[in-house]
Amino acid sequence: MNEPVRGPAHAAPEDHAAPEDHAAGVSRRSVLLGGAFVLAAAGGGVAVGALRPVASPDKPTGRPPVELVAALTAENVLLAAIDSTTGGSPAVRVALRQVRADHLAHRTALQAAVDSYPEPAVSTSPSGTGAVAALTVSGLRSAEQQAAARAGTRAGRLRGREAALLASIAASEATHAVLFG
Amino acid sequence: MFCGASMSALTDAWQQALGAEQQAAFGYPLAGPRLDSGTDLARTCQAAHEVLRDQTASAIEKAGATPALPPADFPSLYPVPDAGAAQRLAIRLEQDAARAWRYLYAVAAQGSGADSVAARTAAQAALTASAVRATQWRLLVDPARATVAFPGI
Repeated sequence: MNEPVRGPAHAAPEDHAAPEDHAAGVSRRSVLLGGAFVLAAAGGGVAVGALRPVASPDKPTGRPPVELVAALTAENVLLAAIDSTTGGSPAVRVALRQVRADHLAHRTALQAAVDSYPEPAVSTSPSGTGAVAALTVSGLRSAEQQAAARAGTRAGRLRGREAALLASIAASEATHAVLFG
Repeated sequence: MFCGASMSALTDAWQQALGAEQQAAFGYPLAGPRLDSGTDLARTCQAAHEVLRDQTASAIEKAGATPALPPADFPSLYPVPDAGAAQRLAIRLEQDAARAWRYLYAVAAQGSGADSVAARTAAQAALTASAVRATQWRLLVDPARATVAFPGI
């Protein structure tokens, strides 16, 4: 279910270096999962409150929540859909590179969240990403809009830092629809 | 009833969101005169933040708290010498707003009562709206770097 998805040529990673939040990696994941907000203090009074860490919940126990696993599966499905596209115009290829990089970061964060539970996840359908039909630009826009809505709904069914993570992912996916607008 | 986290923490997070909206409503008029493109977007963003600022203040009042007054000035937003700085300011205003709303979401997500659910609903909508606006601004600045993977973080 969580096998790496190879990207097509348009998804080459070098063009999507992070303007700010794309600095994915261990440190980013630790921030995401640790519930600490590492923000620049340049925001003045606004950022001061946001710098306060939200209390971390207890260590995860049992199996990961179904909603969390479903969100991870959804990221894999989206990545497969993106990788099935031919890229279209140069502008669309630029958008695809960014969107794919974001989804890879989402998947990494969600996988880490799932893996933080001591017991294995219960598989959610669809069980694999298999063959995915290529999407048009409007299809990609629709897929991102639906993904944003579903991630928001799933966030509402979770609690704590996992909920906040999915809330951010939902917002990110809404921005992808703008790129395909 | 707000279960799982203190009401004061939730109220404080609402106040932070209000502060971010006050800053955005203040900041767009600083950016607007310097912009050479995106002026319509700036007007739309300013109007959205003014509405959200007032709605947020009302929500705080309904919760029995007093909305914090905005500061007389936001010195950290200056200077805005040219169009590029104005676009960067717009992005920053939206990022700050997104961070504040995500903070509210995170605080509310520790609770389970009706106040928590309402805060999460409002915060998700505002976080998403600011993320989308930030992306619209980044598209004007650098279309190849228009999105971020985790808005508000």
